Amino acid sequence: MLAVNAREALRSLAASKQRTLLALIGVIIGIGSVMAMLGLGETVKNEALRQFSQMGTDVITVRPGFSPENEARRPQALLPKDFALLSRYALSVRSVSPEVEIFGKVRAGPAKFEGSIKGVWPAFAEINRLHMARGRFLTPYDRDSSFAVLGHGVFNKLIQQGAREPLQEITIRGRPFSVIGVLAPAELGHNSQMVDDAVLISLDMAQRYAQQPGVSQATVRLWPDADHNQAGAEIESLLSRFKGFPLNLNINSPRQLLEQISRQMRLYTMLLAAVGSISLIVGGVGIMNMMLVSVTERRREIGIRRAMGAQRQDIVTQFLVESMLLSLTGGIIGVGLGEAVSLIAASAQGWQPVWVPGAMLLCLGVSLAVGLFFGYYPARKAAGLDVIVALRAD
Amino acid sequence: MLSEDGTVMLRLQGVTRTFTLAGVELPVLRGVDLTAREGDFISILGPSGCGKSTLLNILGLLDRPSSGRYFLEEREVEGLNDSELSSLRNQKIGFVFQSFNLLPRLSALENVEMPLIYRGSSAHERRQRATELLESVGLSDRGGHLPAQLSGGQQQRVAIARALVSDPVVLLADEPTGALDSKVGRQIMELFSQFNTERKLTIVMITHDLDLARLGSVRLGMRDGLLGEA
Repeated sequence: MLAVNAREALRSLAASKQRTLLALIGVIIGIGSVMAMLGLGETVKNEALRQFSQMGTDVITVRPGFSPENEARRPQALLPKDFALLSRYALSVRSVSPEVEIFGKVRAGPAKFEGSIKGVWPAFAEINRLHMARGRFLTPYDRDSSFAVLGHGVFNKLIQQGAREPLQEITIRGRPFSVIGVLAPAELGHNSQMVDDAVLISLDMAQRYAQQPGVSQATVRLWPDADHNQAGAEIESLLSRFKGFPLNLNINSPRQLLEQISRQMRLYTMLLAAVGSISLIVGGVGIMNMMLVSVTERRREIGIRRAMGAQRQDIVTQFLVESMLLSLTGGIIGVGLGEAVSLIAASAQGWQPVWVPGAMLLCLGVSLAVGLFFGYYPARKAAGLDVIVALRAD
Repeated sequence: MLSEDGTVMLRLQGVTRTFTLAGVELPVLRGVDLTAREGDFISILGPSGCGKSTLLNILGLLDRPSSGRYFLEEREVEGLNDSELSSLRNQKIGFVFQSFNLLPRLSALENVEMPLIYRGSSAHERRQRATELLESVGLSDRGGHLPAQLSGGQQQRVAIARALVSDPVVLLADEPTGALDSKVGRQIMELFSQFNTERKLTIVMITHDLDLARLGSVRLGMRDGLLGEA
């Protein structure tokens, strides 16, 4: 029965090619755009995740939290030596660099800017996977030297403003520092922007400027097999023990960041797919319109079939098969087209193309549902026709 | 001549049908009695507008009487729902229309098969039965043709095959030769007679052609919503 229905539906669709084609286009555009959005969304998400995981998911950031207790105990704030202890005793910690951040005027000849100066330990470079564009990074022997390493962004800014190359000396808050190295552009990562825009000096030097002796934040590199949550707990409990009171720490891992990005991407994808589904609704209305015209044109056929003993349900089924066949055909073409668009867009951007079989199945399912939903009313109308009147129709 | 013995295939008792048009009651059938036994060939003669078609619609279970009773194979039809009536039409009634009413996109064979689809016969069964029927109307070599590729007489033969494919209790024919020239019309009527005598097929035919009506074993006339001797 269904086979007969499908065969006759195909013939009936083929008999009015122009109308079928127009209705098809609506569905193709609708399903195609939803598919393209889902495919692209997945591609972009994968790409973002890939880039972020390259930059190292084993680095976490530890900041003292802002709480009334912490404010009151400011003199006992976290000190570099606490982190030295941490790197010795914490099992999950591979290396640590506490940072003391100060703000001040930096000058190089005519160039000057107000910005962030970070006091760091030599391990900072290894933890953040930094590479040198020229010169060298700070070493343990530079603790008391007025040496500075410039972030890539800072260096460019100074040169643009007229600092003379080779840039050998700058002043920070009026004190001269020798430039011993310039960093290569940091790879995309959760610290990249901050590193590009910073002037790095030794932690001990920074402490002399800082009003507070406390550490503003520390970056910690974990052993590869360490669990981020457990490591965070270990760091918090150890530091609390060193200080002798419970500490309130903000611990950020890039994994959290990744999850956040994924969540945002998902939202973004949903939004785009929602826009696509509006055109899908338009496509569905096109199908309904076409089926209504078809029912009107085929009143006589319906009358004949009913006179020969077709049940109302048989007529409903016949027209539903037709509308679903139409929308499924549109869906298949749309999925192919949408996937093609997302693959082409991905390769144009140099991204890894992604197959999304789940989304494809979803789109096919949705296209069937569109045919069912928008075909139901015309089908009911066909089945409800008065047989005698229908038989007399032209 | 009405046969006095033999199985009663259908029976009408005091059937009326009244239409209401813009608040005005319009009686079309005003108490029709009719009994058709197996093998009867009843022709009903009458001018247009006398209620012949309404009578045929009621006999064919497409319309319901306003009052009166209708027994199909001794089973009262009153009170059956749409689905039950559809099944009865499918299994007990064969229609032949003036304008053939074949489905234009289906081949002759598929048109003949069509009623069997609605009773759930298998594809093989349908094909076999439809082929037999096409053969019995002399069109076994035209099964693959579309209606548009057949002559009017051939189309009506296909329609007859379709009406008989489900082995109905009664064949209802509404001016079956009205759209054909007289020579072809006569051939169709011969086919009717042949089925009537060879297979004891019960036929009720309405026409306004006296010559055609003569072919029937029983001639009735209809005037002003009442049935009587012609």
